[in-house]
Amino acid sequence: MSKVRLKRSQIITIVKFPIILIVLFFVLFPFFYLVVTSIRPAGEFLENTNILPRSFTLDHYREVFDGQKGLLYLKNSLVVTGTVVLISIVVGTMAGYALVRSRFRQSIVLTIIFILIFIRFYPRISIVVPWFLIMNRLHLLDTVWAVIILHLGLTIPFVVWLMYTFFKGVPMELEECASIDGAGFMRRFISIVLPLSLPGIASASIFTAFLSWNEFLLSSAVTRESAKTLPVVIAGYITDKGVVWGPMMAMSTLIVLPMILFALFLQKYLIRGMMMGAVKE
Amino acid sequence: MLKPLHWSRHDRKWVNLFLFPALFFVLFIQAGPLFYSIYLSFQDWILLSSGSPQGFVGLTNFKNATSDPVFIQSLKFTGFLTITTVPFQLLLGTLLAFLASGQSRFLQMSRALLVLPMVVAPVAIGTLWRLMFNDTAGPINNHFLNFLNLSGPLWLGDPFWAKIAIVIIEIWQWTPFVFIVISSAITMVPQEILQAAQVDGASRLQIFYKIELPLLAPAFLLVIMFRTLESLLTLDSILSLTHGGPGSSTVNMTYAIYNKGLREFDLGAASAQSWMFMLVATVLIFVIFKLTIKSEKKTL
Repeated sequence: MSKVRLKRSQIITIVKFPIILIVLFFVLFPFFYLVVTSIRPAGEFLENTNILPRSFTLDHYREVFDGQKGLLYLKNSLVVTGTVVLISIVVGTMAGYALVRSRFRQSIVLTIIFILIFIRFYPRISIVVPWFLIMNRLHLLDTVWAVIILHLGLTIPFVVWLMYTFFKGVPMELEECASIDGAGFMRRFISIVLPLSLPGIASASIFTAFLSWNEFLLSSAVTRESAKTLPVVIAGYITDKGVVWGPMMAMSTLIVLPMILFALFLQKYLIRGMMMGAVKE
Repeated sequence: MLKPLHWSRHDRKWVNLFLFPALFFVLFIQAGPLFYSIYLSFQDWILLSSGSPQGFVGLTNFKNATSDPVFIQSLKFTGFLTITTVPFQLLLGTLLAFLASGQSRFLQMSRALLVLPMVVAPVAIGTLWRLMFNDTAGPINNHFLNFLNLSGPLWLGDPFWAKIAIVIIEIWQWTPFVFIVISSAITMVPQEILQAAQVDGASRLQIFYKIELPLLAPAFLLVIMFRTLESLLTLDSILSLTHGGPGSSTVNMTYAIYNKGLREFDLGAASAQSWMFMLVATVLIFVIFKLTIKSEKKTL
């Protein structure tokens, strides 16, 4: 009996590995091909259909940064993401903590949770037209501020939710002791709660960066030219007349790279945000 | 349930102060424009012809939507996309989660790599697969299908195959999400129960059906809801893969409203359509809320 079982588990392992390898190939190949294409000479595009190009070139990257304001767009994306992470973390951490430690009635807490989930999933397209009009009236259209404000509406609820579930797992005894010793609210928050919540904050920061860096819909609605972020720029390479392959692939590589690095080296933190309560840890 | 600290009146003030900025942002950025768009949905306003609303038109915008061929087309395609992608994502993600569970270094590394498609910008996924599907130079026709001795279709030039292309990239991008959620749900299944069942002589299949599956049910439900809603909201990858074409065969609801509002600048119609969309989404959101509360209650 046990001999049979051993054999069976060996068979499973033998079948398992090739399947996983095949899946990995399909997952990774498009990324590999993206990078290869971004360094493929323009002339080779439709003519050489081999996976690997005959020669390599950095021309597309040079073109993106020299002629096409690539540096400005990259700067926009960095400024937007950085500012959004900073503000959402401060505002969201405070609110998440207050929610856990507040003595709201159950019904109020439930309402707040519903609102957070609603904002996570409602069709964001419905605020796009209003915001386009409002930003136009405020003369903020095509400024990074417009993008930052819209992203904050998206990221803050996420951070509140993440920090809320995080703080729920933090024991209160320490705070109670400090309270008895006469430490006020702010004192307890800064010197006891914050140090304990660093893993939660790391998770929320990386997830916020992921949301803001990749966001397309809202950014494209309020930018025209000088405040475009990378996703908007990439979509702009596809016109009705055709596709600008080289620069588009160079830009796509640039936008994909940081998130891949996050996913490889800080995966635990990134994933916690993506699952958002789907699984309890 | 945690017992809250005994607050002094002073603390109460701080709690409110801590909540205020988040509340302000959420109301200002989300709620305000939502109400504005309700107002707009009853107005006749095409921005290209006039700088201000041309008056209250009742339900006209809503009625027009039901006879707008692109909108109806987009409704069908949105449904098609959800029905074709979510079951595949669920099936493949779950299979992978069981296959790749384990402690070996190889499996740990595979798990880390399998997640990659869902972390990169959907816009870039569209461009990247536009290249893969290219019918003259793309590797799918030139290498993969050629290898199988098949001649590939004109992927993005044919209404049917363009839809299939979108189905493929949606499955490619979001199967990892199912995979990662089910993977971590599997690790939550208490080992003692499985061992006890094994000792009692249950077969592997019995253990899977009678123990693991019921324990994983809540995770499955949430994953299904998450994926269903998100698939309704897809925009970026479609925009950069097919641009909605050929014709408007791959325009989904979000895309149709996006075009109405930001290309044709028919603000009234776009707002009305977005609210029709919103009603459907709200029902689903409510289900997610109920499921979340249920799982919250268990841990409280």
